Amino acid sequence: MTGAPLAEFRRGFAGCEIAVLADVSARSVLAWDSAVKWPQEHLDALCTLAAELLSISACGAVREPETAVLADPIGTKVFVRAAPGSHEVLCTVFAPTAVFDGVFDASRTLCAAMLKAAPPRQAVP
Amino acid sequence: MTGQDPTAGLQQALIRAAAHGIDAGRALTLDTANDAPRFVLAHITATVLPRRLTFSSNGSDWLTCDVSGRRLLRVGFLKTGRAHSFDSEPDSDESAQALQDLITAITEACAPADRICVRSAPLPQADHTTQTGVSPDRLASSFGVRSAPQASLDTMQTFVDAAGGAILTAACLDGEMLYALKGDDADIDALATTAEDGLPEIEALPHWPLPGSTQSALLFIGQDGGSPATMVLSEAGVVLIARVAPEAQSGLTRLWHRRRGAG
Repeated sequence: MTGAPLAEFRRGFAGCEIAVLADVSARSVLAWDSAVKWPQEHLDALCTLAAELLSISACGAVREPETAVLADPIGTKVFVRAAPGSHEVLCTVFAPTAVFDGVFDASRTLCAAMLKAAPPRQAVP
Repeated sequence: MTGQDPTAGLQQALIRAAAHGIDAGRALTLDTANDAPRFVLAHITATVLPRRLTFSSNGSDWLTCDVSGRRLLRVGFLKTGRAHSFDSEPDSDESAQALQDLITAITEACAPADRICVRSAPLPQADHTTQTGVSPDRLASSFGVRSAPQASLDTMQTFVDAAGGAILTAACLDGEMLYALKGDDADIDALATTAEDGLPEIEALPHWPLPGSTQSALLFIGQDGGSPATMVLSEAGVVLIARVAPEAQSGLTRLWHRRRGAG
């Protein structure tokens, strides 16, 4: 799966340092694009964090979360499911001062386009 | 005319009054002998507007505390009918004796496994304008317990105020105590449920600050773009739990980063 749509996505959000399309059920990275090269273990950690945050079930909702945003002093990580209940998640990391208004809708649109162009392979039983 | 609801200002004032006056009927089941004085102290410390706090255990009223500006103005011992006002001479022997009586009353009225409850009601202006009262620090010292983290509470309240309509309801958790910052009783009860059910999961995250840590983190958990999201902010050992307006997460995150000095 090519990272070109992710690069285009990043250009639409100033301060977006990396965009990763991940499968949180398999905890695998499907595609990514970043200003600098991220080590694989950092990508894996981002994927694991997405899986953990999007499985928090006890915040007054019946379903698992569709979005999660985690901010710490060095930046903000945004996680958005491709569709309700989907295992495919777009993970993005923003600089502390970045504006990410509209990132949820943009993430879903991007995921839909990427997954339609190259659907994830089904596991062989 | 801006088309704004003319009652909006009054509504905001009422919400703030409720936030500073402590919601009625907050309760705690006591685990240790220290919990009751902490409960009484925490509610005195969290009360800014003139309020009469009425404490009960297992459904029976036993103490009233008139409070304003987080200072204890007067105590009323309902079992004996006695009362003491901490007016112009809060350091007098009488006042020291009244504080000792207060500790005794708490000890006698509450035991572990009891359910302690507090209600609040506005205090008539005539009852508090001439009194100086006892400070939270002096009370904490008399009770032999830690005072509520007022600086942290104020920080969280300031954040909630600065966020305006982006934060719909909010409460602040310190240990076992949940302080209402914004919202009505039902809102705060919902946040209490979130705190009880959701926080253990969040605090178990490897990226989340450990209890008592000076680190801070801000988390939003949401369903879809059209419904409110849950916000959890951990800062200086205190946790803010809130429901936030849809699409408010980017703005609140920037506000938080700005307040931390990140631009």
